Amino acid sequence: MRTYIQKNKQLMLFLAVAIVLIVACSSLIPNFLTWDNIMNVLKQSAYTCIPVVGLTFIMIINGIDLSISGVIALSGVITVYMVMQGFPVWLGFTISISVGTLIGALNGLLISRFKTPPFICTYAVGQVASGIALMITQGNTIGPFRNDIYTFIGNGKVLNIPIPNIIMVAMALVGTFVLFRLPIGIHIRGLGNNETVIAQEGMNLTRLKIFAYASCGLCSAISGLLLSARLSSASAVQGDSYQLDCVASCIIGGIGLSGPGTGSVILAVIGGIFIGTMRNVLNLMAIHPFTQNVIVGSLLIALVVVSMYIRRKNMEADAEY
Amino acid sequence: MQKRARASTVRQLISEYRIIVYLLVFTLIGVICFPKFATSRNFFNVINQAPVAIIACVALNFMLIAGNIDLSAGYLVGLVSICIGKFAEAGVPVWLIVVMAVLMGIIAGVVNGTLVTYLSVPAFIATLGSGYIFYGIAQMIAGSYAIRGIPDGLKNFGKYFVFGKIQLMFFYALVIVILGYIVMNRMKYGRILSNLGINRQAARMSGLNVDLCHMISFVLCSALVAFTAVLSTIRVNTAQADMGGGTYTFDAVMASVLGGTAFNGGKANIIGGMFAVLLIKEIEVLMTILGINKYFYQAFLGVVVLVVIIMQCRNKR
Repeated sequence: MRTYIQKNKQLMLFLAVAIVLIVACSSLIPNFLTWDNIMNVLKQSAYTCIPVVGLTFIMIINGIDLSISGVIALSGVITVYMVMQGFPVWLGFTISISVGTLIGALNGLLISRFKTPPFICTYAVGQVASGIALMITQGNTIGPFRNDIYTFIGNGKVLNIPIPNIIMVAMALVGTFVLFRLPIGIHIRGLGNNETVIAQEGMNLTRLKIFAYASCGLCSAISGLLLSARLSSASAVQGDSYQLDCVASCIIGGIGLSGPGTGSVILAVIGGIFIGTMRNVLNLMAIHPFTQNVIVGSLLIALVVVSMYIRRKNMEADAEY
Repeated sequence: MQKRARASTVRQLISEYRIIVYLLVFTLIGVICFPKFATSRNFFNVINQAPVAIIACVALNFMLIAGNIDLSAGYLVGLVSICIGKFAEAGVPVWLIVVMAVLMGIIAGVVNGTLVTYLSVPAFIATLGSGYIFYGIAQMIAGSYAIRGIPDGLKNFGKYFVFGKIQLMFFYALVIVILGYIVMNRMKYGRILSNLGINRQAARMSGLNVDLCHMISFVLCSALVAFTAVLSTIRVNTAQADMGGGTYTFDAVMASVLGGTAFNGGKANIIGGMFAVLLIKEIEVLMTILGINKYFYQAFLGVVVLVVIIMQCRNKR
């Protein structure tokens, strides 16, 4: 038990903060701990948490994906455009998901084969993606329109749980399974830990990196089409507010904090839910959205400062040992 | 022998400042193919639009060379912009406004630097967080209003015309580029920064005060960013919290990398960055002249940047 706590200090830090937060909020705010509100929080965080699953893979290999907002916009726009042109919904979904995956794979290819820096490469690719979305929509919001299947996927509930959340949980589980049980996930964690060794072992670095970036493209595309399905409409700027929140979730989730190549999908998704909860709490306390940014930013920094402190203590303890 | 040595120096210079060749080729093609492009008005347009982006590029070079990044820069621009708008409304004299703006930049730089050095938060995360904070404070001050109309005194600080149609701003940018070049390439501090970018651990072991060096680079960067906030407020004649924004850092980083700065640290090329900004502005002007769909522009610029980066990274390999 004790070693478990020592090994998972990030998780423990989370639990401590979360328990304090929930106790404080439920006593201060009457409407916080109601089923409706909890579902509301979860539903709103789903659009952040789904790309986070893919982003975890990338952050583990010390990369970054700044094309998330572009892919969210493009996939939503493609789906809405195709459904409005009279194509069946499944075809729109398939095409937008494959476009998102291809964009991710392109990121991976440029980064691994052409050695472009991830930060600038994914940003430029994201610009291209949202530029194409702008061209399709001509700068307007397209939709809304009526299509029962489509609306159901965005707003429906199964067993009283919103569909985006079911997808979110499923993807988080699949992501965890891939990362910790499949050979490719183990190789990816190895790649994050020490690239040279993995290359010397004869692993195909290009394949691993393309896989990581393509999975992030896939997840962002799914998030984008769910987001547009929620309102049955799409615009080229719909992804803009999600980019930084996704990166922040991964950071709060502690990816790479306990050494290179470490991190877990579930913790990163919890990080996303954490940001969503914070915003919800601040909303319920009737704090202005402007002030919320200040609080979320301070919280992000404070959490990371504490995590870095824990990490330094760990390293000192290791050195003594 | 000497001749060959000189030839290789020339070749090295050309490969270092490849972006100037691109710029010349692009301008030549533009002038030959599109007669409308070769007017003095367009020339001054490009010159007068560039200063803010050029100074931003110099500022970010101080981050990139040491292997850091400042994501909060764009939000700092918004914060400084709305503050100087309020100052101008209150009738503060021009010189004091500029000094206050730069002072705000210095404070922001100290905040970022403290987080990165003494609290050992990775630069990426620290500036992401402080960016949220700056943006929030800026919006709180602005209260979702923009301040339109900048007093003439402040306007003249940036828009005063010199040599016919060139605005004073461009000369600020030139001076800052030259100073930046001297600091980066001719002074000891620039060499220290590049060593920090290449190998932080080795720099620490050799007895450098690494934290102080990082701190100074953050302060320099944020002070320059705050100065661009003054200029862009004057340029659009409006003080608002949304100025700069998330794309500010990325655009500046893009121009720097196009100009030959290594993204992973160790090498900065400020002069190249300046010409990269001019190239981007020329492309913008040309696309406006040709009447190309403005929604096409963003995707096109992204493709151009990708192609140039791929070419640069292939040469490096």
